Amino acid sequence: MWYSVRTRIPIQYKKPKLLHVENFIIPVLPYLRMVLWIVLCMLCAGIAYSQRIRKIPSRHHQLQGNEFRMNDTTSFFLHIKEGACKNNLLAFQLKSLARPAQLPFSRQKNGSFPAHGDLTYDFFYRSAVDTPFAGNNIQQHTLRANISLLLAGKLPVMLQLNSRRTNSPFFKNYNDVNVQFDERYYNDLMKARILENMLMNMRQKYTDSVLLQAVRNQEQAVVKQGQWLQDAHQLQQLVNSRDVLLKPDSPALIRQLPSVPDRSILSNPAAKYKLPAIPKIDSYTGRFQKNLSSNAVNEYITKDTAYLLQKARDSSEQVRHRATLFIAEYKKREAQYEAAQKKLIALKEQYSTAKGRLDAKIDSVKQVFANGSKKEINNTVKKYGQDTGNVYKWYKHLSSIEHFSIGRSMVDYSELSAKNISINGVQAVYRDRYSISFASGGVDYLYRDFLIRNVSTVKQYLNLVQLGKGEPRGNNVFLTFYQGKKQGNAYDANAQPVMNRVFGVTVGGKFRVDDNNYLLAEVAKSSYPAPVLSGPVNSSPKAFSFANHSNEAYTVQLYSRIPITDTRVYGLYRKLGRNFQSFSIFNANIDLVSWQLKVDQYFLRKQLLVSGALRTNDYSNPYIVNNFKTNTIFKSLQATLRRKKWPMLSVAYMPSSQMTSIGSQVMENRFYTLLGTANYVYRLRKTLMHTGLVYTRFYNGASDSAFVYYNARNWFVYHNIIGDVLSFNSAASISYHTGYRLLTLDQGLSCKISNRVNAGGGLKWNVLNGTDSHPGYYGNIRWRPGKLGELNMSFDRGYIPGTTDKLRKNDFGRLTYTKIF
Amino acid sequence: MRKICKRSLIALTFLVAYALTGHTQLLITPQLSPTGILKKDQLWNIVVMNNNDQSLDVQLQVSMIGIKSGVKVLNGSSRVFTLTKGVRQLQVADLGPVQYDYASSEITDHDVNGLLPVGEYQVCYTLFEQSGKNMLPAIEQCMPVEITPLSPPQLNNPQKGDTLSNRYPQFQWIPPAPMNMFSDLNYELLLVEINKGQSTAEAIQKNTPLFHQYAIRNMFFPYPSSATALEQGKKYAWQIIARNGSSYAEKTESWDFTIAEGPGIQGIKASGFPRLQQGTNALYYIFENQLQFAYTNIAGDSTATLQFFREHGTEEAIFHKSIHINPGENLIREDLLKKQVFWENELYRLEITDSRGSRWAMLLKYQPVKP
Repeated sequence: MWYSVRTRIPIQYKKPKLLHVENFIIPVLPYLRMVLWIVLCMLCAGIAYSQRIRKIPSRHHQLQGNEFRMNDTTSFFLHIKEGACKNNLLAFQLKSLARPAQLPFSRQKNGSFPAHGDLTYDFFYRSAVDTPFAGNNIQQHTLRANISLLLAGKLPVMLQLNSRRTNSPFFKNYNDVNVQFDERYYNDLMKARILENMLMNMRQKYTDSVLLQAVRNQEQAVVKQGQWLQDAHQLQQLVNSRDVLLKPDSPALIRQLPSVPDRSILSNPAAKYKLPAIPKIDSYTGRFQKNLSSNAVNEYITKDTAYLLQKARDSSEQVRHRATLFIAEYKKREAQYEAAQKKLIALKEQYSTAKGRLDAKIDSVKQVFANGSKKEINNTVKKYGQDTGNVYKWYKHLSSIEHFSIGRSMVDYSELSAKNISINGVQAVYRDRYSISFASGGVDYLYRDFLIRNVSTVKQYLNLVQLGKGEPRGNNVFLTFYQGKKQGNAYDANAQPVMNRVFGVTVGGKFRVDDNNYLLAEVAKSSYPAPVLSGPVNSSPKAFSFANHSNEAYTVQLYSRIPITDTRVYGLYRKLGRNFQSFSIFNANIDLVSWQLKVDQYFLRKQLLVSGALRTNDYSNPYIVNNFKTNTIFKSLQATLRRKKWPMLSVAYMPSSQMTSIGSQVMENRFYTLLGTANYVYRLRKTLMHTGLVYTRFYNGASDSAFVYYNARNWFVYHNIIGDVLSFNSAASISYHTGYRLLTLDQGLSCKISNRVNAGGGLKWNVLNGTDSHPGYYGNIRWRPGKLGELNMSFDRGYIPGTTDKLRKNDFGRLTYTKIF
Repeated sequence: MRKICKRSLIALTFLVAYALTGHTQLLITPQLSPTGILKKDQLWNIVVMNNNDQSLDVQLQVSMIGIKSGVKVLNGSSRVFTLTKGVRQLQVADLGPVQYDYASSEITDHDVNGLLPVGEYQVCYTLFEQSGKNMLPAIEQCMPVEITPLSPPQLNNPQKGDTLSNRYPQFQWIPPAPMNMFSDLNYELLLVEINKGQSTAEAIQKNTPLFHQYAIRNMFFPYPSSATALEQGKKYAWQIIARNGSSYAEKTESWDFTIAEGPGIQGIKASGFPRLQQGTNALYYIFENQLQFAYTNIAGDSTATLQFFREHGTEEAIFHKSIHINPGENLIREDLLKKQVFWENELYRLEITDSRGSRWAMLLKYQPVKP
């Protein structure tokens, strides 16, 4: 099949029209083409990566071009034909052949995989919003994909794509790509290969082949001897021999004597022809004669009777002698058999002991490969002398690369250097005896007001190097250097942010006391922000002057667990100088000291959990002579009871206070939060029920002069009836404070239509301040069409309280498609 | 010694500036912090250089103009004072008494040592020189300042990392301080969904808000129950931005919370061996390290296949493993959670189908404890 495109059509994106909820699906259409293009590009990229594009010279005579074979079934041609009068032709042809039997997208037998991962497309719509910043009819298309590929059959990489298109003027469209070395899969793959080689070599090396061969030979000998002894012929002969020796007239003896014709038979002429052939040697031929005539028989009987009787006597002696010899032979062989058996048992025991030792070694090696650290694996490989193979050498080099990525990636190095932001650049972590981490790239995180101000021209970047020693889970120390350009804490006359050049050093580490307790600590010093305020306090603008501490920061964190009492403790102390700069912290000429202590304790056999927390933040401004200070204290006490067949109960009381001191003037405001939750799950006639109540109250001190007294309360009651096919959910919510009372009643239903389809919906009744009431509704459907993935659609007509005591309509729609392949 | 060096440096700066400008006889350098809290008396901290041969009688005027609005909010005048030749560092005590003219209602604190309101301003200094009976402007110097509160607003509830069963949470925070720096304090609430792999801070800035309320006057905001309910099992981030009128003041850090799973599904910490059950699950078990459960093998099977599914994913099992079992009660312990097929805080379903075709299941979540 051939497809040919011979014209180039410019793609024009039209600005989406503002639409109402009744047809909110339609806004998808302007973006559909874009989405299809992205999907096509992704698939092409995936196929190309996995199949390795092969370039084949074209056999197309009329056009100059190339064929790019994407896989066994698909290829495309690019042709350029130069014609007269600039009549050039650019042609693109896609060739598709019959498709062979498709392999499943799972990992194949040899452990490799062509491409697998997940793909998610999400469409999101909101109609009217009563704020001037968010705008109306917000539409957003998001496409996310995570694809794992195995390059050249050896190198696993993860490809992450993230694309967003929105018509919101305040949020940018973006296309983020990240290619990351999948070190986890690589290590698993290489470890499996090394282990396979190691076990094979160990079996060859540590198995005693001489002993094994001896066991096998002995086994064969025993079997052979046993077979001879147990052979039916031998056994019969043994019985016969014993009979011959024990009984003179035994049938066995008689059977072996030469037979004498029965005279009664001879007297019957009719039976004479039925006589058995009597062996007699023909004097002429030397052969036995058969079919003797009756005369011959008579002559035979008459003349040779004496001879035959003598012969019979002689034969009887010989038979006895032979029987004696056979029995002796048999006994001899029996003795030999028993000796061989004993020898075999001894050899087997010897072999088993040796094999047990090998199996123990193999088990130990397997255990190290399954759960051991890289160091332990390396030591094991060296211990057994398996460190010379190519596979191990590759493993040793590449397994030290703990992370390598290009593109958009999260930065999370330490509390005081760079954390919780993403960069668009390169990141790498190499960990062997020492670790070296490196990050470099552009930063688009805005540290100040990011919603309204148009600061698209802010060009920030980060370069970071971290040196470390020790295991991440154990004790470790690290030294971090960071440098870059960052949005400052001031604006110029054109209302654009001042840009600061930032340089800093941090030293930190993790100090593990035991398995349950460890401490994280970090100290940092940075360059000063520009411009530096000169004044009585900040006397030295030198970045690394140890006389001045305004550009320093300290943090200490404690994680502790007491196993006997099952107590968990978390502590934090942090001090930030007013001039300290980093990519994880933004401060504006303020000294900050904060600390936090949190304790969780179980009681009543883990049925009651009591949590207490205390958190303070002290802000002070040293530039003002009167010394301004603000101290905020958050306290929290929470108890949660979970007892079998009882409702789960949780109560929390969280008082907080804010104290501001300006010189001798001190002001204090107090705030209180009260939370209560009760959940009860039970069965009523085999139907599962879930009933709950949530209460929230936030109020201030009535004596506070700075604020009007307020007392905001929120009640939320719900009851769910959960069935295998049908489920019902009922809820009532009321929120009220001065001048505001919103009541909502909600009744919903969800139905499992089939194993692949779930659908649900409901109605809401909303009343604001007892006057303005509006019905709302919602619905959703989830469809899982087998291997095609999963489709979720939902819509909701809701209302948001406006500034004029009226409820304003707010429609919400969402479509999500997910495919895991 | 350090002070001498510093003063020498300032003098050198003035000399260089003088050499460059050539004709300028007076120079003003404001000594203001470009950002942070600012009191009225700090406005008068300046360094003045007089390059004339004689002393001058001068008057200093300070004006504050809103950068966005372009409106003058404050005008201050010093007394006439004599400026001797050379460099001089001046403070309010040298210039007093000073008089203020409040041109805008933005300044509510009329104390001469009071705090200036939060916002972005252009502070302009004009030095008037006495010429006969008239005061003529000799030089003007401006600099932008951003006045921010001493402490930013701070989030209070829902707490960082909370799991809520209320799909319409009430948001609460502590106001910025000092309050008298604000003439029109109001807040903006941003609520966004956190995508997988995103940090809270990143989600707040990059994701389009699910809810964005403007001009909140209180220190709390109940998410309206009449609006679209927050989705169960989803993780959200929220942040408060404090404004003075429409001017940006400060923002809080961003916190995250999760709405509890499923219709009425509650999570409890697994202790002992929770049992696989037939039918609908109303509970999920939180495992910290090792997965362990009880399974009653009434079919008398000798092996069972453990199948793990994403509860909110596709019908394809993400992981499966065969184990040997005995007829009757089985207490099974599997070190599967350390396998990297499980995401933290995601809901999974463990399922065993016995030889009779009956399905036994349990919902579970992996939440490793930081040792």
